[in-house]
Amino acid sequence: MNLTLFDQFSSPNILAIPLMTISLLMLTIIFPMKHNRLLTNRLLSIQSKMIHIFTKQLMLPIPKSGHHWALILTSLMTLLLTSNLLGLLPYTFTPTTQLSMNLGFALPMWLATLLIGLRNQPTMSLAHLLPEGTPTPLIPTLILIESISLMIRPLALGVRISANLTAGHLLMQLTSSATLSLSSMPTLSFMTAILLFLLTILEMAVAMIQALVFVLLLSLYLQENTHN
Amino acid sequence: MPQLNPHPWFSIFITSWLILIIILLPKIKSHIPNNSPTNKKNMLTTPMPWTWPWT
Repeated sequence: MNLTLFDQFSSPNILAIPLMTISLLMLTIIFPMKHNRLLTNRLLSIQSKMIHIFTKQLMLPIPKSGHHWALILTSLMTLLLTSNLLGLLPYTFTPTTQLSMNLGFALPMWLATLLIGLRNQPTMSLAHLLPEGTPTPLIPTLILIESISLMIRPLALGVRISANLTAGHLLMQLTSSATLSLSSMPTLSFMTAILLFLLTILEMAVAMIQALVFVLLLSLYLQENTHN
Repeated sequence: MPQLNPHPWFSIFITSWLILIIILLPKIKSHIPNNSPTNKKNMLTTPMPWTWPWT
């Protein structure tokens, strides 16, 4: 079998059955259900604390009518974060490198925020298409540009996380294969291994930041389209 | 790049949403306290007057 660099990103199949379900189900195992009648353990307590802090921070700038989104945004953040971080383990498949998953999350969520705005405050939502103080001759062009930037948002949202993770995984694979192929020169190989270690730390940061950015941008779109 | 031709795109799309909504959402929901009123106050026993010893 001739493996290429990109084979790690093709979704796994057994007998033409996609294993995406299993790879995503694995992520949910580390989140036990919290129960009022049971004492929490350390894992559950720290998860609870993190979820509280994140939800509070996320909902702070959003008007009260947008607070219904707290649960879905926090859950999405949890799914993306866990998927990104567990995908960094060697020989695992990262579901968040798949465009069909990220676009599948980005498009409906963005559309929902847009429709909420157009339904509840159509004038305010349409006013976002023209920045205040624009000279009159520029108005038609600017509305066109703003409309395009509005429509391109879900695409950018989905592609951003996919591209970042794909680039990171590729870099790590290239560096690790270089470490192995340079094993005849121990000093150089060791230096490449140190580079790989530093890259892994960077990728862990990227995994967390990208999950946060995805949800934060969605919350910004929501903030634009909700009112007090 | 396999991502540009996301082969089982429909199954990936459906699966990711189903897992988010059916499995992860209830789990996260159990961590977030709701603001619904409780019957905690109703269940408190009202203080009974001291009846013994008869002083």
